[in-house]
Amino acid sequence: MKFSIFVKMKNFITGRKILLFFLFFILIKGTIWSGGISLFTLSDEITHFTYIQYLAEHKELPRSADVLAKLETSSIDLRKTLKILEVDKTPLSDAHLDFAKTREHGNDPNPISFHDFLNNPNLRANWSFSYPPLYYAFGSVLYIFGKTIGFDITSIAYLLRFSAIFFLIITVIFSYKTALILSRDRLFAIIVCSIIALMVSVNTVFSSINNDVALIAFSHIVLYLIYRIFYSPPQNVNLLMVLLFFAFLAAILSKPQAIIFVPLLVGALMYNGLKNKKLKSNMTVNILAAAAVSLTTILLLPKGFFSNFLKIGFGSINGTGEIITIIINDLIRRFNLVFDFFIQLGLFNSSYPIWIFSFLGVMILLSGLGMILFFYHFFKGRHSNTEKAKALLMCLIPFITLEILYTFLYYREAIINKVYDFPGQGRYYFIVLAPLIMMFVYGLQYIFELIKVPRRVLYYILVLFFAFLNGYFLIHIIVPSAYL
Amino acid sequence: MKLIAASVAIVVVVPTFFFFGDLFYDQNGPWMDLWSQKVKTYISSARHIEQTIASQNDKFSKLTIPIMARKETLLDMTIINKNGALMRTKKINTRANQQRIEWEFEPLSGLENIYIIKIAIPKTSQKNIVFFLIPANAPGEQALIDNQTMPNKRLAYFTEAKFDSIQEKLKTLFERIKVYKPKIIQLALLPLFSAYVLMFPIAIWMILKIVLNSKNKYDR
Repeated sequence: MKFSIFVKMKNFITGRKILLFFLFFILIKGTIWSGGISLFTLSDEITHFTYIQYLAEHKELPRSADVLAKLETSSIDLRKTLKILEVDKTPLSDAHLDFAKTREHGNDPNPISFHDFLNNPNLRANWSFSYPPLYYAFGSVLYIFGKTIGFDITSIAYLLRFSAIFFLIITVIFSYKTALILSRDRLFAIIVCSIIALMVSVNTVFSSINNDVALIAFSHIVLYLIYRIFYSPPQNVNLLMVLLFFAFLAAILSKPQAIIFVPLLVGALMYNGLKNKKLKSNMTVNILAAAAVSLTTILLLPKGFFSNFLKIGFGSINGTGEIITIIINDLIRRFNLVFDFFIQLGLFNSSYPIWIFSFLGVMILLSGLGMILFFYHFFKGRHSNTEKAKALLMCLIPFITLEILYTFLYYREAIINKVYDFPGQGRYYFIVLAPLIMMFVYGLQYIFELIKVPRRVLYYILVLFFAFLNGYFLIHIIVPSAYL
Repeated sequence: MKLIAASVAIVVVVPTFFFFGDLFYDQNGPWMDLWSQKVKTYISSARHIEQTIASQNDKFSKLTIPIMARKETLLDMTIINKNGALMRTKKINTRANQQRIEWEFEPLSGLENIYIIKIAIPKTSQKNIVFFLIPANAPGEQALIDNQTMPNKRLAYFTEAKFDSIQEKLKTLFERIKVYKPKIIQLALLPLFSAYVLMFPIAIWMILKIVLNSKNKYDR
């Protein structure tokens, strides 16, 4: 028996040497990024850490009325650590933020200064306390483990950072599997997951303490299972349904953005039910699952989510001038987002060389053009690649759903709070990372087909470009950031 | 094979070249990413600009100021200390469409020293160049433009220090990378980085090889 397990393991490893090498490489790379970047300098790390600490210390969700008072007792060590980081100028001098000045001028309006985090518990954590708790619960297990074996706050925080690599590996694996289902082309899937693994913005997010990492990983499992259901031959998909339900549950319990999957998920179930009418049990399970998903979503969302969500005071708009400002800022935001998606580095955004923007800009433009031409030619009957059209549509649907949500949120924030850059970070789109990268590659593929350049030339350029960017950013920005 | 080798070499060597070729460090100042600053003011037609700055690093060696240059302009740039003694001076010629002035000079040593940057623009070219002002945190930081104080505004700029040699850069990096990191990370970073340096070219090599062999094996 033992021998047979050993043989199976050996066969498994032999057949997947390359895959295992890549996963190990991602692990090493992730460790360097998360270990190299100074603590609490990535997006909202203090806030997410505080939530984890609260859960671990108080063994309850931060929902009670005396939450801020409790927070003050449980975060003493954290505040001591922040104070050390704050008062010593050395670790902060290259943070691309003027922390030294922040120290001198306590009222600095900079929303991400250590000073404010140190002195304002509302800012430090309160806004994140309405988030669903799954990622924080996972983090609190690691926190308790770290504390049990005698780790200090800094060590526990790094442990939490390293745990994000686990979510990165899940994301890469399921991006590969998703791309394989949609394209049935192994090379295409390899290129998609290589780009994802090499994207500097992805590396940065998965180096941080942030519930985004869990959301992105679980979302990719959800996407994979949805596509499996869409693409499955006539058969019962009951097991897939159960898995999908739990994956969706995990995603929405990580961050409410997972709500965007509900239409796609219900659509997949209806499609599957209609396609397999004869499989009665299958249809029943599908209907029950669709109902369960919808009901769970409603139950899991915070109280007053919909009523607050839909409150837009149009009366606060101050004339056509403001409407024009809102629209122009929306366009600027989108323009920035396109680049941010590929190269955002949290606080380390610096003035990148123009050739990076130029090359990336040309690729994005060509990709968009490629997709438009693909569908134009498809409807004109110049080609009949229905398989690729279906795959592109499958990628577009979750993206469009997310875009509807974010556009609504942007206008809501712009009208109510006069904030014109939310959601202004590329990482907010990582929930549909694999579909976006697939569309990016598909678009370019079509342009290369039109100009009759072999597909592998495109793949070669893409891998080289993203590998180069990864090396450049690591050596030019991430490693020097260690001078913090 | 040669193509892959050359490609991997580019991916590995060029970023390393950037690292070794750049001796500046400790970027500091109110401007880091001007375009993300929500409140900025454009200053055109100025003849004299004065800005008080505090050097945040011990080897202040470079000053970067974002601009929009419409035509070629010759600027007189000066750094004086708080007692009025001339520290550095240079005539800088900006080209049309230039987006920033980068002025490198012999290092000025001493932390938290107060300096005043003075920029003189000839009358004939004063409309050819635009500077940017961003919110000031304190009265002492306010910019002086043509002898008029700009209320709550300061010039957008940043300062940098420079290492004497690449050895010093590596030594400092090795020391600073360990600051506020748990012992285990301090110990693991070097072996991990070595493993990464070894694995990165291999990983890229393998992917590129798969791509090049794709015609027979993977393309449908």
